[in-house]
Amino acid sequence: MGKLIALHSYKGGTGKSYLSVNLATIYALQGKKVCLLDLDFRAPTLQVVFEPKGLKCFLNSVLEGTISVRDCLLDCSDKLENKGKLYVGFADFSTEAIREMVTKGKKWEIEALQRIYKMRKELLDDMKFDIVLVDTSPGIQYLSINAVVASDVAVVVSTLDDADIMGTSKMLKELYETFEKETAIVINKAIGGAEWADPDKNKVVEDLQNKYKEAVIGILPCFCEVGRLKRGDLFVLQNPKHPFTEMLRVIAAKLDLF
Amino acid sequence: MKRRPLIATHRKVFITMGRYLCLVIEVFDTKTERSLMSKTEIDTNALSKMEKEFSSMRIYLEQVLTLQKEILEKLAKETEKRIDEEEDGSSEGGLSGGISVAVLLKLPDHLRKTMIALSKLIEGRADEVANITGRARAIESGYLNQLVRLGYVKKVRRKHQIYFAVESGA
Repeated sequence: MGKLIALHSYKGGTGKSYLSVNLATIYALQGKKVCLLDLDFRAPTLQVVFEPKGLKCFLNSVLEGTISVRDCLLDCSDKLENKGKLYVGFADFSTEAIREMVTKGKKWEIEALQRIYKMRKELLDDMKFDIVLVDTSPGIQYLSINAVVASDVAVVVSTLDDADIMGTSKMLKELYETFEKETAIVINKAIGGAEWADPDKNKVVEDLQNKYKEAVIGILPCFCEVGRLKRGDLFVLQNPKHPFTEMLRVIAAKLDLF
Repeated sequence: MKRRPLIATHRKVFITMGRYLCLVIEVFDTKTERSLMSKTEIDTNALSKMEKEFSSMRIYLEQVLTLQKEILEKLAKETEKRIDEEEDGSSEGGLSGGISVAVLLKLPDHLRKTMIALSKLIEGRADEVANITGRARAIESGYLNQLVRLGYVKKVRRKHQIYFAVESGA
């Protein structure tokens, strides 16, 4: 039985999309059948990474209930030089579609939860994906919460910014605890992290563990070379021996244990 | 709603109208020469009184109009809000039936766990739900029946087995 992992954060710009793409790549390179879904309808990103050509069908239509998720997945394994199986579902990135999603009523968002559950069943039970990674919109919004609720594991990505830590703690306490969600926390863009001596790193992890009362499964330092590389060039594929890739591999392994 | 001020102003209008009618009768009586006052005296007095009553009536009627306008505006806003809520499904009625985050948050913890497990299955038996929640089948069966009574879940009988399914949206 596969697993649906939702990547969420309290604030934007924490690196959810970047992590989801690279985690998907790691899982696919491990020989798993992976599906990556862009449910960040307000700021879609995956089209920049995979550059789909002539895409006519988007996840927006799946959540509208007009098509099945199977019909809108694109095989992007060639992007991994066919070293693994990776399918991607894109959000409509046209301005009209984004505007439309912003103005959707609550009723639509309520119905969307049922459709996300159907989508989950189709992907995991019928299409037999080992891992389904869902990239969501930041903050507490119906659609993101829907994805989190329907997931098996929720990965909350946070930076070391005070506002982010405070908001994330609140979100975890008030939302994730209510749904008794299996939650993992990844700290991203930790400045100076690469040079930390282990005792320092352990202290930060300990503080965060105490603050979040959840499992911090990784602290990813802020690597300039990660930021320098284009999104289209999958970092973990291009740099298999880089510490960032190694750390992501550890995170992927820890997520497997959930 | 400003119902009380409106009633009070209406009352004032009626009182003024009554006084005005009394004056009309007085003038009418003058014409039938039953009044003790001289004709000129009555004409001047009555006309000035009538004018005074008219102006107060006008003020009161303007107040009535303003209050009625305010009430109508408020009613229109309320109606608009209700329509929006019904369209959005954010009203209480819109939340009944079908699963949503709002419904899940409303449920007590034990039922929420069952509801989430059943949602993952879309349709399933009590033992399948119990497998996900890690609780006993009998307990899950009880919780699922509670959810049926609340209207969030429906029961489907297949041969000798009972399946539970999440109610589709309202």
